[in-house]
Amino acid sequence: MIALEHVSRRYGRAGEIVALDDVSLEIDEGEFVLLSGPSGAGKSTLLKLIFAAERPESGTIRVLGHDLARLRGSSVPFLRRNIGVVFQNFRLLPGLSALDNVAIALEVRGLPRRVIRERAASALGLVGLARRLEARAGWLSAGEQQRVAIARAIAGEPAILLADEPTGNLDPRLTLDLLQILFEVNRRGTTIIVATHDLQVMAAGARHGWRHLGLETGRIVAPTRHQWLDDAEMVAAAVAPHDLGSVPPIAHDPSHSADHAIFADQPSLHDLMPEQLALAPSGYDESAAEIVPLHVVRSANGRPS
Amino acid sequence: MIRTLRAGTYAVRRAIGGMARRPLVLALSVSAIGVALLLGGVVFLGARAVANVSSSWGGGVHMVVYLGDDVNPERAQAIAGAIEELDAVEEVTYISPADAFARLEQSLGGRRELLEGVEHGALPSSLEVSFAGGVRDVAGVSPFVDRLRKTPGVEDVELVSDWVDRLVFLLRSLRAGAIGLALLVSLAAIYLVSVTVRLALHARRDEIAILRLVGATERYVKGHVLFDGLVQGALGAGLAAGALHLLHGWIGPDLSATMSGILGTGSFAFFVPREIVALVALGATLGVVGSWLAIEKHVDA
Repeated sequence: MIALEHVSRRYGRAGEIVALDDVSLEIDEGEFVLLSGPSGAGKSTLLKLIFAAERPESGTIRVLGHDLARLRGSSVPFLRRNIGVVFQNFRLLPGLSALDNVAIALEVRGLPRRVIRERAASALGLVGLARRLEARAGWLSAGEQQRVAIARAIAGEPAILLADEPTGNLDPRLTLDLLQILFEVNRRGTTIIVATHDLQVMAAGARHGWRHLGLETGRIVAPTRHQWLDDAEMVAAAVAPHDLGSVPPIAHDPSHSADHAIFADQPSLHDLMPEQLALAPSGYDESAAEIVPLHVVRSANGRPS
Repeated sequence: MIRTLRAGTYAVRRAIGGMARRPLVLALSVSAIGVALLLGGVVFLGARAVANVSSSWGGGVHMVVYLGDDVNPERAQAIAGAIEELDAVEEVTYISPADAFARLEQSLGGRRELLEGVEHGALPSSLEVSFAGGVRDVAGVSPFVDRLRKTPGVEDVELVSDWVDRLVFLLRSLRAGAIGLALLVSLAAIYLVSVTVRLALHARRDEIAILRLVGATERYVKGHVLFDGLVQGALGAGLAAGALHLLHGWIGPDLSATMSGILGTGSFAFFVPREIVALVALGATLGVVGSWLAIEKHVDA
């Protein structure tokens, strides 16, 4: 469904900023893929390339059977109708109702007005906003706005859904709601790619067996490098909403006072980067760890790690 | 085809809804086009009034033969008959002292009191002679004019070709200037509209980005923007027509009286309905052209 072969993308006048470097990957129909990595790793660039919003310097990209390098500019909109996109900042028109925001995606296809309203309402129903159809988008909460954005992305029943940091503006409870929606959309057959550095999303992905691709400085890396994923279930439990604010279940190494400060100031683990968190297995040796700024030594439910 | 029509209908509906949601931007765009067309309309109406005067003078009397006090109408008719025998003469009209006085009264308009105490027969009778087009210069050098001056009963012969020609030249120059000014105003209007539409597009950049995001074709996006320009242009033209109508009602009669008093002819007429339709069409075109220029510069994919 999506195939990248030796794709490179650089920015800057002399191409000195490497966004993607010789990336090759294949994503099959119906897959749920998580793209993780720190800011600037190339996650958003990868999504833009798949969405044909940018072109690579080298390599080939095939999406839904189209070689994007050979795709004419006039054909790009028709490709995009098969790819829904969701952003961290929602990108809604605040003056329009939720229904009208979703309807935009269908209006450009020239569908009958009745069909547009039915489909838009159905998509909003799927994301739990059946009773908020006429509410102005600007008056909705962040979670509701993100759900409208998802409804707009899926209203046209796209084959692929791309989400770029979709939980960036959501609290952990809303993140869980959104993940459930994405899970449902994926269950209906839509291929989903989520670019994220949200620990909670990755933990949920590990729990559901979603494919995980790590990106670092423009290259695909093995996600197993992040040791915390080895015990993702425990991390997921730790960051689940019912545990938020209850820091005690997660102990830390008192010798790391700076890490302790981060934890104390940010009861929301959601705000922590994956790189800031690592699981410490039994007999953990700090000097041998790759990324160990914070040490989870037992899970929320008290299970020893 | 049906899909295109539906898409067009939605574009129209959304454009109208979008404009209603951005009243400030709408007011700015409509005002810009309205002001531009108001200026253009003033220039046009002025140029047309000048053209009317020019045409009136260019095709009017070219020679006036003033008759003596002792010339009775029969003698005047005889002299007129002699003049009419010339091939170059188109028409000879006898103006009695009473006719001349009435004309003077009419041309003075609201200042008729100036003629208080003046006898109705104080002005001389005359013959107004119109020549065929292109023969005024010939008439000026014609021996006939010299012979006419020596004819008994003729007090004086005033060949008006010289100053009429100068006036006509002046009026034509004014008309050419007005056309040039109208062109400049039009260019300024297009620029003004383009800048305004650019501002409007800036305000709509999110909407345009979202349209592209959900798979809108360039034709759809541009059609959206062009339709906005069309509606705003038509509204601006309507605004200009209304303002011109008020302006004409306010100063038009005075201008007409002044022109008539000074030049003896001319009127400051307003647009006929067909011209108003043309003005609205021009406004819509300006809106579309302005939008098109703005799109080409600022809404490329």
